[in-house]
Amino acid sequence: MLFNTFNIELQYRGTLCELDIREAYTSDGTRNFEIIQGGICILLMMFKNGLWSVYIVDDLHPVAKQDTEMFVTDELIELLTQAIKTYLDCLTGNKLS
Amino acid sequence: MVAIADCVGFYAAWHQSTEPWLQGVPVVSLSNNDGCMIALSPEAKALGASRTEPWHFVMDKYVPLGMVAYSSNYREYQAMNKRLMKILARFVPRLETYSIDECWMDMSGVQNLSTLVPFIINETKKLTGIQIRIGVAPTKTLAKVAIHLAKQDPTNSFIINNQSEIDTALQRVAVEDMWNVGRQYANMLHRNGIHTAARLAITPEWWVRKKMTVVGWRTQQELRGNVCLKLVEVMDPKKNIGVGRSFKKTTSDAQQLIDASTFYGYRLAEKLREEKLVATVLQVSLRTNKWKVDTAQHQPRRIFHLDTGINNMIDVTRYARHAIKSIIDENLRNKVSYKYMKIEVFASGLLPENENQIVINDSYAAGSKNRLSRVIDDINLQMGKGKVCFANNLKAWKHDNLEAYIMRQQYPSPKYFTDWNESPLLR
Repeated sequence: MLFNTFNIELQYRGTLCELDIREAYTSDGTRNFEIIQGGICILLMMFKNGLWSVYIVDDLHPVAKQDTEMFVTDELIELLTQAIKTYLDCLTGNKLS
Repeated sequence: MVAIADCVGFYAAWHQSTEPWLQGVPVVSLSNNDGCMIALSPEAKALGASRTEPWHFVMDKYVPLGMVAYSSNYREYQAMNKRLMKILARFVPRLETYSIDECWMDMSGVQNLSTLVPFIINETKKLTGIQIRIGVAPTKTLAKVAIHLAKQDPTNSFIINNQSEIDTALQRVAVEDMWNVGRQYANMLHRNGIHTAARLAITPEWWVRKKMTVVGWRTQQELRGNVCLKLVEVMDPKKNIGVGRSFKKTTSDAQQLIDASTFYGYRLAEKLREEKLVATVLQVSLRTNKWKVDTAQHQPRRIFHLDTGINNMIDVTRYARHAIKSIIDENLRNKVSYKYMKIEVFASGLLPENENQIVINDSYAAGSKNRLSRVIDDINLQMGKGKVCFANNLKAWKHDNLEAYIMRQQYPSPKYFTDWNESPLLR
């Protein structure tokens, strides 16, 4: 069930990146985020007990998979976690904690 | 299957094909008023020159290296285009002229593409001296991808036959190099992680429709091998024709503006007759220099909606002159004076001559004026442009003053195929 959708722009590797983020509703206290780039969901991010888990989506088309593997780095994940946290904590009442 | 044929540096290639001594010489063709380089021969590209470089900035660098520049010679290019299309039409059942140096060819049902395509390229080179490239694929967009890849192929051709070849080809093409993807869309796609045609092809349709409208969706469908753009054998008729030019110096002189209006009205009427069209709407406009922000700006225009279409020079120039006079009178009444930089005379609501509406009880009798215009056309064709003109334009057609009205052409080339007086002589 879709809970919240927003988009962010990141300055990453010297260029601007647009990403859509969908938060799915879960009941066990886990916060799930789908990271969508160019209409395709490429990353799943979970936040539970103050910790983040990040996975590249399994069944990506080979072309998208190749692009995603080149795109996703520790730096990107760090940027994404900060951006999501900033957005939720500062701009919504739905804080990430 | 559909193919696209594209001439390599067409304008420059035309000069090389008509002047044998230019073979192997770096040649460039310049834009209107000898502004920028718009077509380069492979030898010119090898010197590091690139399109759109202003000629007056780079001529000192390239001329000592042997580069030869020519002013654009559009009538000749058009004549060569017609010859090329006739030659290419021999090899295929259907052909669509797409631009002055490109055409689409229907290749459906052709079995031996790998032998036919090189044969077409060689025959065209042999008959015209112009090198062409051919890209073949199931759709127009894929054919454009193929011709982009043909640039890197020594055979000047590239054929995309099946799905695996489509997949491989699309991975080699960046989104900004794709047909129907402009700079704005390319930037947007890059921001969204879509860098190649292959990635665009697999992007969800809803996303493409939302971000790139139906035009982008069609492009995507074509990349997937679904035909959305068919061959168009009969082109849409022209919707409007305009003539005009910036003055060498801005002017507020009434007589100069009236002379210019007559001159361009005359040229417009000539163009209309060449296309066998009549105009039912005429628009005359003046413009000040918008870049000079410290001067008063004025962009007046006069529009005439006519009951009957016209293409004779007497009526067209009468309306053009009337428009300029009314603008000048208005300025005098308002006690203002503007320095105009550009005049344009524009015809729209175009109809074929033979479909021109006749108004009952109208006193309009264009028959004699039309006949006179045709006779003047014939005289000017044989004796040279401007031989018969309006008296107030006599000065304009004098050679030393022509540059004020006709575009600057410092590096002209002969009109071998369009002017009897300039055709080559055999001794």
